[in-house]
Amino acid sequence: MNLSIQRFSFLILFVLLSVLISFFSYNYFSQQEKTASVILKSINSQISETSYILSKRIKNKESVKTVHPMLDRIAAHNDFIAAILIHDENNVLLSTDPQYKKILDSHSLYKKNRSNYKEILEAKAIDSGIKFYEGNKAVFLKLQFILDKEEINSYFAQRQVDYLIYFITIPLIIIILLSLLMRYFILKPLERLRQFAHYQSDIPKAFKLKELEIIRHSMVQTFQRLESEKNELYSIARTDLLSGLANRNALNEYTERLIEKSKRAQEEFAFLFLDLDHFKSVNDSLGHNVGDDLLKKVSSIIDEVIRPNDFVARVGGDEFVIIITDYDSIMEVTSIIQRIQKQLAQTWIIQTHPIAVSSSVGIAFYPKDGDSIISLMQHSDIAMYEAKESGRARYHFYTEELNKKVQDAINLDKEMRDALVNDEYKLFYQPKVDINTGKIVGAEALIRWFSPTKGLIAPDTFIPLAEENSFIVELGDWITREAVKQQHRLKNKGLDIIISINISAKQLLKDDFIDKFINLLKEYDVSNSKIDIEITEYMFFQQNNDNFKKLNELHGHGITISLDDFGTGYSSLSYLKKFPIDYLKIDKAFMDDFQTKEGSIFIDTIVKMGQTLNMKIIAEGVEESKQVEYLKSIGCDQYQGYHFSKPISAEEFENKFA
Amino acid sequence: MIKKSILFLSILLFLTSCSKDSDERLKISASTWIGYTPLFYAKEKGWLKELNIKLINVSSLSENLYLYKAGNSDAYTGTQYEYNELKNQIPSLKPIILFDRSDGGDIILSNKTIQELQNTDKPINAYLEIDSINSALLKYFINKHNLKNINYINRDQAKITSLKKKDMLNPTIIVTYVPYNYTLEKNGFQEIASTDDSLDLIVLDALFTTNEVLDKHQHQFKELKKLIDKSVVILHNHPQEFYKTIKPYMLDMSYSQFLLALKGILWINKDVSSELKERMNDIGFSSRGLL
Repeated sequence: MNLSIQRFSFLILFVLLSVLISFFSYNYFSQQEKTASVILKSINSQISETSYILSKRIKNKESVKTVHPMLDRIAAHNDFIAAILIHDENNVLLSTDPQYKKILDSHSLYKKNRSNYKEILEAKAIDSGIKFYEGNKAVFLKLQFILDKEEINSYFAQRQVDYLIYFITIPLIIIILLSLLMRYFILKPLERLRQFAHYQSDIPKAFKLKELEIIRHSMVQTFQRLESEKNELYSIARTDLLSGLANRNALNEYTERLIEKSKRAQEEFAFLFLDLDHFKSVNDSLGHNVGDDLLKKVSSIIDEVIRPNDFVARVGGDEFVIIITDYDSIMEVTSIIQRIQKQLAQTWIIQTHPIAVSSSVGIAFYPKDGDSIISLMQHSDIAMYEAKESGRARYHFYTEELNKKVQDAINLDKEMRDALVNDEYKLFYQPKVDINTGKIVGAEALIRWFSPTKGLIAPDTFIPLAEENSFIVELGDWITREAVKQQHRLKNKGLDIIISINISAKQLLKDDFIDKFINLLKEYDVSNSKIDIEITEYMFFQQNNDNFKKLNELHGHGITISLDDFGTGYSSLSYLKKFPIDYLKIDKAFMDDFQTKEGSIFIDTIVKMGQTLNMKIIAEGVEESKQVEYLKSIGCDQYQGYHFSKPISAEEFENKFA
Repeated sequence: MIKKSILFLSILLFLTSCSKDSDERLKISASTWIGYTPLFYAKEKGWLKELNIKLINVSSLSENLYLYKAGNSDAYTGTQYEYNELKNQIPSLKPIILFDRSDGGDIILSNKTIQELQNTDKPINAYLEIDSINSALLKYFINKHNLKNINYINRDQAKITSLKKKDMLNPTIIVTYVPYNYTLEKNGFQEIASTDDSLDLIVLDALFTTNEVLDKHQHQFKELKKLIDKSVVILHNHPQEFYKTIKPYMLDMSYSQFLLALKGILWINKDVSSELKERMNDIGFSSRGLL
C-alpha cells in the first residue's frame, strides 16, 4: 500500500489528537467526579456540624427561630446551598429562603450509593437529624440543606466549557497549526520537487528546510547537466562533425518543417545540390586529411556566401545541400549560385598544396520538381549530374524547359546590358493629337532595341526581364535623358510639345530619382510642364505610399502624370481620387471595340468619369477616322494611334512635324 | 487554505462564544429591611431568576457586610455606614442604586424615658449592631442627650429581638429598625427616638458594588433598577398584594405594621432632589455613579 506523506502526517496527527482527547477526557471525567466528591463532602461536613450545634442550641420548637441568623450565614456563605430548612416531618419550622417552604421527599435526597457526580446533579437536598432534649425527653427534627441546582449546574457547565477550550480546542489548534506548518515546510516543497522531477518546468525556489533544500539543489544541478548534455547530443546528432554545418538529420528536419510551412503559405523554395568537381582526385593524390581541410574551407565559404535565412547542410563526402527561400525571381537564385561558384572557384592553399576547386550545382524547386525531401534530393541530384555532364563548374535545373528559359534569360540579360553600352536602343515617338484642333500637342517616347544580330527586339521581350533584374533603372535613366534631350531639340525647332516618358516603379522609387530628374530638366532647359510621366495601374499596388509621395512631389514640380492602359489592370476609383492623375489613357483594347454597344458604353463612361474628376482623356490605338469622330462626339480630349502616326524615330518626327 | 482557516476560526469562535449566550450569575446580598422589599418582591415574582440574579438574604447589616467582604456576593445593600466601612479598602466601590432614605425607620427603643436615662446613675446597656448604621444613630443620640456610662453590647438584630423589657434590670437602649422594632415593642420597649424629625441624621439605603462588577453585569444591574422602580410603583398602587408577596421576609409584621413602617422611609429610587444630592456629597456618598 502506498501512503502519501500528507496522509501519513494526517494519520499521525489524528492518532495524536485521539490520544490527547482520550487522555484529557479521562482526566476530565475523573476530575469531575473528584470535584463532585469534594463539594458533597464539604456540604456533608457542614450539615453534620450544623446539626450538632443546633442540637445544643435548640431548647424547644419555639426557639428554632433564634438560629435563623446562623443558618442565614451558612446558606449565604456557601454557593451550592440555596436554602436551609428545619422541619419536624410535618411542618417547616424555619427556612432561610421563603421560596423554599416544602419538605422534600426522600427520593429527592442525597443517597450514597450513586457516583458523586451523578448524585450532585440529581439530588435536590442533603439532610441530617437534630436531636435535642426537652427536659429528659428527646425531640427529633430534620435539617435539610437545599442544593442550589443552578449554581451546581452552572459550575460544572463552566468546567465543561473550560475543558472544551483548554483540552480540546487548544490541542486542536496546535495540531492544525502543526499540520499547516508541515504542509508549508514539507508537503508543498515535496510536491514541488515531484512536479519538478516530472516536468522540469519551473525551478522551485529555495526551501527553508536544509535537507529539502539540499535535495532541490542536487535535482536542479542534475537536471541542468542533463539538459546541457541533451542539447549537446541534439547538436551532435544534427551537426556535421567535420564542417560544423548541419548534417543529413538536420536537413531532413529542416526540409520537412519548410515543406509544411510552404504548403500552408503556397510558397516555393529552391533545393540546391552542390558537388565539388574532381574532389576524389584530391583525396587520392593528396590524402584524406588534405581533402578534409579542403571540405572545411569549402563549407565555411558556402556558409559565408549564402544569406542568413538560407540553409546549408553537408550530406556526403563532398556533397552539400543549400536551400534558398524568400527570393523574387529565379534570377535571384542563379545569382546566389553564381556567387557561391565564383567564391569557390579559386586556388586554395591547403596544407601547402595549391588546389583549384570548382563545383556543379543541381537545382530543384518545391513543389513543382518535388514535394518531399526524397524527391527533391533525387531531382536536384539528377540536375547536378546534368551540370557535370554539361562540363562541370556550372548549374543545371531539373526541368529542361526551365533550364532553357533561365539560360535564355541569362543570355538576354547579358545582351540587354551590352546593348546599352553598344547604343543599340532608340527612342521612337508617337504623337498625341488634340481631337478638336487636330494638332500635335505631345508625343509618347517608346523604346526600341535594334540588335545587330537579331534585328528589332520588341519591348515586350526585354522590358519584363529588365524589370525583374532591375536593369530597368539603368535603362530608364537612358530613356529619360534621351526624351528630355528630344523635347529640347523639338522646342528649338519650334515644336514645344509635351513629351511623355514611361517610368517604372523601381525607377521611381530610387532615392535620387526626383533630384536627378529635375536637374536633367534644368540641364536641358526644359520646362517641367513639358514633361509628362506615364505610369501603369500596377504602381498603385507596389509600394503604394512611397509611390504616392514621389508622384505628388513630381506633380508639385509641375510635371503632369498620365495613367496608361486604364481599365486593363486593377482600376480603382479610390486610387484615381488619391493619386495626382492629370491624363487618363484609354487602352487600345477598348478602342478596338468602340462600335459595339458594350464597348461604347465603357469608353463613354471612362470619358465622363475623367471629366468629372478633372482629368483629360487620351485614347490610345486610334486607327480609323470613325474612331476620331466618335471620340470627338463624346468629349475625349486627345488621341494617339496609327490613324495619325505610328511611333517614329526622332529624326523622322522632327522632319515630319517640326 | 484561506477557506479552511476561516471555517476553523468560525468553529472556534462558535465554541468559545457558547458560554457567553446568557449573563453570568449575579449574587446580591440584602439584609431584612423595609427599604429592600422591592428586591424581595422581584425575587418572589421570579423576575430576578430571569436575569440570573441570586438574592441572598441575611439577618443583619454587619453580616451582609462580611458576606460581601468574603467575596460571597457581587453587590450588597446597606447604608452609608456600611459603604464607608469598605470604601477605603475597595476604592472602586460605589452606590449604584438608591432605595430609600430612613424617615423614622431607624429607631431607638428603651425601657426608660430619655429623662430617666439622663438622670440615672446606673450604667446604661446599649444593644446594637456595632458594625452598622446603629453605631452612628446611637452616637448621635448619646451626644444629643448627653448620656453617660454606656455599656455597649454588640448583637445581631435577630438576637436583639429576643430581648424582653421584664428581663432588663438596668436602663437599656436598643438601636433597631423596621421590622425588628415590632417584636421589641411587643416585648415592652418604647420608642424614644427615630430617624424622623427627632433625629436629625440622614440615613440612606443603597446597593453597592465595584466598577469592575458593574461593567461585567451592566445589563443585569440596569434591568434590576427597572424592576426596583416597577416594584415601588406596584407597592404604591397595590400595597396589599405587595405585602402578601414579601411577608415571609418581614418576620411577623402585620399589614397595618407594614403600612406604618412604610411611613418611616422615603423612596428615593427615582427623582433624587438636588438638596439630597448635596447632603449625600456631604456624607461622602457620591451620586455620580447611580444608574
